[in-house]
Amino acid sequence: MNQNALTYPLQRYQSYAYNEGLYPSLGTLQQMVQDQGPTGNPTGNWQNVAGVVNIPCGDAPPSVARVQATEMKDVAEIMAKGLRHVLLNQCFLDAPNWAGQQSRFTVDGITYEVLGAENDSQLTQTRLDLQLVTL
Amino acid sequence: MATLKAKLFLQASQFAELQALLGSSPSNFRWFDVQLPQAQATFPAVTVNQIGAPRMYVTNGRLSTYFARVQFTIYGSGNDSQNAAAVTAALEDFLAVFNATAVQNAPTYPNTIVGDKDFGIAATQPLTYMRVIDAMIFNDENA
Repeated sequence: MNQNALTYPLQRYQSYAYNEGLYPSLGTLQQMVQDQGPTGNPTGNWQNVAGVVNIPCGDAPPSVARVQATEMKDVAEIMAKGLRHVLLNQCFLDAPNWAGQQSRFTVDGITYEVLGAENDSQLTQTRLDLQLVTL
Repeated sequence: MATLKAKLFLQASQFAELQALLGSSPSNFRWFDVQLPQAQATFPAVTVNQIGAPRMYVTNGRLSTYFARVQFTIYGSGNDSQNAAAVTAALEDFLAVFNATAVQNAPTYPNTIVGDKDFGIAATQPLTYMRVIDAMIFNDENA
């Protein structure tokens, strides 16, 4: 079967979803500036990645089946993880390189680490697995 | 008679060098017993654990004085280890004058740091820079 035939209608649905307001959030990818501080530490300075700024996206929990229970109680401290599944309104071919310590993603003013990034088979969308850890 | 950790908290909360880093209000002095409360908006903060307290005995019973080994876990702020190092320096100055005995106005007290290790929590972004300090603290349970 010629899969190219599937692409055109899928892209139509993409714009339909956007027009229906299914991407109400805005997301921006940031990369760590590669410099070091006085103790050899990463300085923690970030800059926006050109072309991935204020991208319309859907910001959802990773599962609709159950509430994510991610709080871990330890004797020393209590750690909570906030996990999000974000669907971008367009496809970024280099998205698989976004995961890792050098990237973070801001959705409506909240900054998350990028745990995973992948594109769909028709290259119409990029989806992200994001995490925010608090103590 | 106060416990050792109660004496530590009371005197630390009145020590200006620590107040400058951990907060000066008695209800907002970020120095905690064993566990860091969740959602502490501001670092640095310190948690205190006793990890050893061998007692001394004489022929007619147990002495009231002993060295307790206490671990201070320092949660630093910022993007490097310097804030945790500043708290460590203040803690060293504090331990030199911390008095858990009935002997008043001594020029210094025999509280000795015996362990000093960098640490961190990698799950947070950025890394939470920490320092773990072990100290032998001389205490008199009757004081």
